[in-house]
Amino acid sequence: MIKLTNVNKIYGKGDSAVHALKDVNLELPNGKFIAIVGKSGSGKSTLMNIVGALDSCTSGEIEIDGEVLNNKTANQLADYRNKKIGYIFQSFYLEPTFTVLENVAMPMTIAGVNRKVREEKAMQAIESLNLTDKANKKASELSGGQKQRVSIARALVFDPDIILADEPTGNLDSQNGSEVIALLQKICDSGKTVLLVTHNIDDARKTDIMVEIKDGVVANIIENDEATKKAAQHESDYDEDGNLKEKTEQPQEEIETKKVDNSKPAKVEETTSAKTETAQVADNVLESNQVDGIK
Amino acid sequence: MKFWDILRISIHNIFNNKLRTLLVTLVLFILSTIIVIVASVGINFAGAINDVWKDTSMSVADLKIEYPMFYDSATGNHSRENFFDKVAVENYKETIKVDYPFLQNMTLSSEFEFLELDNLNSFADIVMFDTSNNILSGTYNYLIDGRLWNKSDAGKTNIWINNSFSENNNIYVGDTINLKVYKEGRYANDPSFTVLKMTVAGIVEYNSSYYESDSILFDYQYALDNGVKINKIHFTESNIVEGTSISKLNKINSFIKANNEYHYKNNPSGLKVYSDAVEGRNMAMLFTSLIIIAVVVISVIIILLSIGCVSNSIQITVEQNAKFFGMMKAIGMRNSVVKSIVRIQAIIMIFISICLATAVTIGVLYAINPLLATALQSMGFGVTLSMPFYIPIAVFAILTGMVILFTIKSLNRISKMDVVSVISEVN
Repeated sequence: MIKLTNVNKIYGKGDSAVHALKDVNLELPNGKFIAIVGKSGSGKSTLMNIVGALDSCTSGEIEIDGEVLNNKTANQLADYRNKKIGYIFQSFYLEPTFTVLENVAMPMTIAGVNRKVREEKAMQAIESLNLTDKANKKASELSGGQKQRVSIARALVFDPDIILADEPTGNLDSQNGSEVIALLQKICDSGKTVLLVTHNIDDARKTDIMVEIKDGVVANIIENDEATKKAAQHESDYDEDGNLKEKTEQPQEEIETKKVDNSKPAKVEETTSAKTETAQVADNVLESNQVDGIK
Repeated sequence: MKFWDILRISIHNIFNNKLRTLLVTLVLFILSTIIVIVASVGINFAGAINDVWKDTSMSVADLKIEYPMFYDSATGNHSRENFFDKVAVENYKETIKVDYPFLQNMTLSSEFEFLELDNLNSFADIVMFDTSNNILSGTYNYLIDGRLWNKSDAGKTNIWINNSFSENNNIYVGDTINLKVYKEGRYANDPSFTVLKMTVAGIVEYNSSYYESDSILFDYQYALDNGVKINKIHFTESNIVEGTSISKLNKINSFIKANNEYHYKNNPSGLKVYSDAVEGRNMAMLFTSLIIIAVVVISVIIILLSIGCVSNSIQITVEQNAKFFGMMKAIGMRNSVVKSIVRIQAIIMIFISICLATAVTIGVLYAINPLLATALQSMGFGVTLSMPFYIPIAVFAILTGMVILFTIKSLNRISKMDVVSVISEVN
């Protein structure tokens, strides 16, 4: 369980202070694929950074699986990031002159794991992502999609409970992007909690829960049912495995949604012509000003 | 994180920035070479000067003070006659031991003015030895016949004579010698004397540089008890050698001059040699000090330049690798480990520079030795330049220590590095 209680984050002081997060109260269940959506500057990355112990909050409490992060020292937070969190960044952040194996093994290297053990585990992670033939290649020799998969392998190598992905598809083309989302879904299916920060609503609708952040507050929380996710998948040009689909017309279906709150409908940008009703509602709620939560 | 992994990453980072590494190492190499050469030359020159002084000092290790004057604390006067008092002699010996422990093996002697061999036509130097110092067992002497002195001879009339004296005068072990002891000296208005009957207990061959060939050696306690006038003090093993501080040497000089003014006038050559040695020692110390000061000043300047160079390099390393370190911190690397990586990079560059500097210094010194020998030959001074092994080790240790100390502020930036701003892109 990821629990945020009255979390505030303020950058700067005085008149130039920026209140990035305002009294955020949030409880996110384990084992779910959670998207944090919002416009640029809404505070979604700030939220993720705080959950991932990359940043500290100005006030409030962050509790993850019973551990309160506020009380930890810098070294304890570093150890926490090393073993309990897996990070996936938009720009991959691989060391280009290290090999794939070295990059993937880096969290274990930092933890002081024996070389033989960490190489074995890193190879397992690499093999699970079909990168075996790239293991001894330098990261700079890989394509974008391959780099992101290496980044995912690195995030998984210590088998953390929480995976944080900050715009992982931002630097990828559609196919690779879909592949990555599909991978994240599979990771979630294995029992991990996956937090995905994205401004891509299509990717967001493929998740279990969407948390909308607007101007530093949690504007809305939507639990996507299977139909919504399927519809989102349908609207995507690529299937779950990231293969390009043949374009066919799909009938409209009645879809139920478990929306907690009624919100003012707002215009959202049409992305495809085959939007389902749930998708339309989901788009609308992104403009909502109401704060709610699912427990 | 394991040390070998930290080392591996440090080396990896060094080779990632080849140009910068090369430039920094080059500058450090030049600076290190200068320090090592200057320090080696300085130490060699200082050592050579000290060696020259040491040779000079050995010639006055044997210090003779003739006609000593002794201080009477009761009257506050210096008096020669007070020396005939055994207590005064013992007090004098104690004073020497405490204040001038470097003056060793004091022997007392009386010259022919006060003594004469009665049954022989010879003016003999009588040398009396301190009962705590058996000079007859010294390396300068060895027994020809009879026996050596022992504690039981204290206060007795047994004497020892030189081998040549024995042969020249047909005097052997067991024979008796009559010794005239003049109260005021043979040339005084009252040349009255007493006769002491001495028995030859042993014949020795002793180093004539210490004792005259006609010397007779016997216990000074007995001599004093029987009115023999002591007019010479001889320190046979004065430790006026390398290592004695200038202040101590000057104290000796002042002491001797103040307490033995009379004999200084009468034996100017003896003390002059000593004074010359002291002055030579002072000059040697001055030159040595100047050389050391110059070496230290140059070294400090260069070390500061080196620190500036490395410190700058560390700052650039932190800034240029901000993303790398930020990423590492994001996935759990501790600040201390990041700092260690940066420090080790600096130490590796210093180490490489020192190794190169050592090799160059050995070559340079080897090359200039013949030229230097030729130049100094005309000055009567010689020095062979070599690099003491501890110099590069010391320079490495000092540079490393200083760099670690002076770059704490730069490295603390790592702790304050905002990981989020370094790695975040779109928010």
